Amino acid sequence: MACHSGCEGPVLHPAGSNLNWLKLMTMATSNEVIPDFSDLVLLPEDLELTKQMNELGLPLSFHTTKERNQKRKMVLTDLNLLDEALGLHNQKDKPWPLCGRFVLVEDCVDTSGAFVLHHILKRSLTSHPSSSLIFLALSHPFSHYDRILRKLGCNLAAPRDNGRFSFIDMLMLQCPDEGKPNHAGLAAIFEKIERVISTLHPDNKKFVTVMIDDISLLEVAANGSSNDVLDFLHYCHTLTSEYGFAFVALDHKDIYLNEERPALILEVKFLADILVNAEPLATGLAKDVHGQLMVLNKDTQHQHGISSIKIHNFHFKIKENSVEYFFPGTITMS
Amino acid sequence: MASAPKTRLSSSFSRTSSSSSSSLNPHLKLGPNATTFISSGIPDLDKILGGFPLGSLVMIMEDAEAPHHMLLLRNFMSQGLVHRQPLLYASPSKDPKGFLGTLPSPGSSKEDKSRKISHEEGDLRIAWQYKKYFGEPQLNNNTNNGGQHDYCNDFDLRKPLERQFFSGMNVDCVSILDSPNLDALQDRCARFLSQFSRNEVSISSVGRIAIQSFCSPQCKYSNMEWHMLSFLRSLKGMARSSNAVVVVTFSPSLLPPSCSKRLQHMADTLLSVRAIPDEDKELAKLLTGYKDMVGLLNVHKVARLNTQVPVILDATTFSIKLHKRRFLVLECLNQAPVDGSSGSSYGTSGGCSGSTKTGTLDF
Repeated sequence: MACHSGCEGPVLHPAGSNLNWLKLMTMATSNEVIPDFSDLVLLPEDLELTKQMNELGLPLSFHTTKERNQKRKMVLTDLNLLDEALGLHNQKDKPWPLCGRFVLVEDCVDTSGAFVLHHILKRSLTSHPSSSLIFLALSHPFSHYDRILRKLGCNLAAPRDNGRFSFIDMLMLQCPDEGKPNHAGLAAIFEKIERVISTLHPDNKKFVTVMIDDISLLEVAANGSSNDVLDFLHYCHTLTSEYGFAFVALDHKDIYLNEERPALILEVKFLADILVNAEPLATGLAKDVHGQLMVLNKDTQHQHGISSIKIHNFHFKIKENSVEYFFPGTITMS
Repeated sequence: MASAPKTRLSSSFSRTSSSSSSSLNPHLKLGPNATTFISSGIPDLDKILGGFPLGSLVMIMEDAEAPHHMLLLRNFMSQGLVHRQPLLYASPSKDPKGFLGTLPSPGSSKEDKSRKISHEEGDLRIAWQYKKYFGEPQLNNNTNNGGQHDYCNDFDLRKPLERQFFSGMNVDCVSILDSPNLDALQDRCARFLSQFSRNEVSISSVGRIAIQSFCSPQCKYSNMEWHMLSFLRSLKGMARSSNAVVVVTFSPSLLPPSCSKRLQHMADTLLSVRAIPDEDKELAKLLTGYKDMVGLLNVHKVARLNTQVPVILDATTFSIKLHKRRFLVLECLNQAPVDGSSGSSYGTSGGCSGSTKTGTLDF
């Protein structure tokens, strides 16, 4: 087990009392516990600890087998770990819990995070009969998404025909070159979004999601002017506060790794309410585990005046008609 | 094992489709998720990836020190010409048309047969007791590409392609050396791709675009990072809606890291080639058949059109070898036996299971 190797390693020596306590805990109960980061409310200062623990492969909290079985039951009732991490499980108060929130999905060359978009796309269209979605496509045409979503059990053509799903194809979008006002291109797109919103049936306006499938391609379309892209994203973000829309966007984080001032990604990360981070496993590609997700949910409810952050960590395996999510080390072979 | 159902699945796909595809075009192969593959020109690469799906953008990352990307590019172009598929070739050289003279010619099937037999013998000689492991993939290959020669040829790198293949109307060569920007090339590509727009149900003709050393510093636009990116983005967009495959080679070391990462994200299929240092004794000890290796091929990303499931290959690094100094072969890397020097004799006969030519016998 990873716990044992972590305990013996020299890395732990300089760590604080917290870690020592955890070390004891792990040694005592390592056989029964399942590593789990869910249901954990963290203060911002705890993030550092989470990070350290994460690197060591150690859990922050422990669950008994009983709790795990309860979790299993939940998985069976159509909701999975990603739903739970995104807060989609309590639909009692709101039919579409992402209303008024900005979800940013980050991925890298080795592991694509597009499946998270597909998941949210399906959930948002099936959450309520009057929910609607505006999709800005920069990387793939409609046929691509139609085929994927059909396999996931969601028909896109029907909501498109009755106006609940509007697909804005921007594959060939190119903003005008220098000389002319550059932002004209992106401003036109935002006007298009507003026009779509105004044509929506009033009943369908309650639960609207706006989705962008690739921010980095938006930058390319804007000839590298990240300020224009930021302006555009800010405008989209105001939709969440103004109308209570959900806003979902995908970006590739490895592009910005070597930049001196990665202003765009930093600012977008700051704006995001929920960060979903898709990464390959540290040990490389595997057939049974396609990668890991870290979902960072900045809670809107303030506790004692400090906003809390929930972190969920789990592995995933992508299939044609579903995605399996599981805690590290708990994959069930079927 | 996870691989077993997968192969079965793909074979069932081709079986149901074989009747319709053979009546249409033997140079095409139907893949999963309503994709259609064309051959990469390298039989082993076709076995690994299935080929290149129509409408995809394939990027090859060059090694600054070796021209191995040219091997892949040449075979890709030759295969298209042999199949009478129109080709658009752009390169930063003064005379791109001259490059057509260096394209390899399809090797005769006689030689190919002898090669197959020699492999078969080799397999038997090395380890007859492992033969059962070769049995299953053999069957699969036979069902997968029944008319293998129609889909993909073996190319003899020492024999130049006959003139009749490229003297016709269907080859277009563009030099990107002196053009101040990529607008002209973009127009050419748009005009070329408009012949293959995807509106009918049946695929009548297929096009190939090959762009060599896309970001090379002698081009005048090479410092216009965003211009190059938006060119490729629109090229990808155009390719998506047409029955064509675009192959672009670029050198990541000549670009800023963020720009190179953006290109990698844009690629549907991403490959990279690396040279093997001539006298790396440590590596020579580690790998069998090190002497015969020309370079290494890495598969970073496999096209995921119409699906969200990533393709996880058994191995992502392959050695590029020249069989009889004529044919391009890809093999999985084999770790040498404890005694490295004696292993080399086995290595030449291809002990690797993944990509060696399988036998001619049909069970």
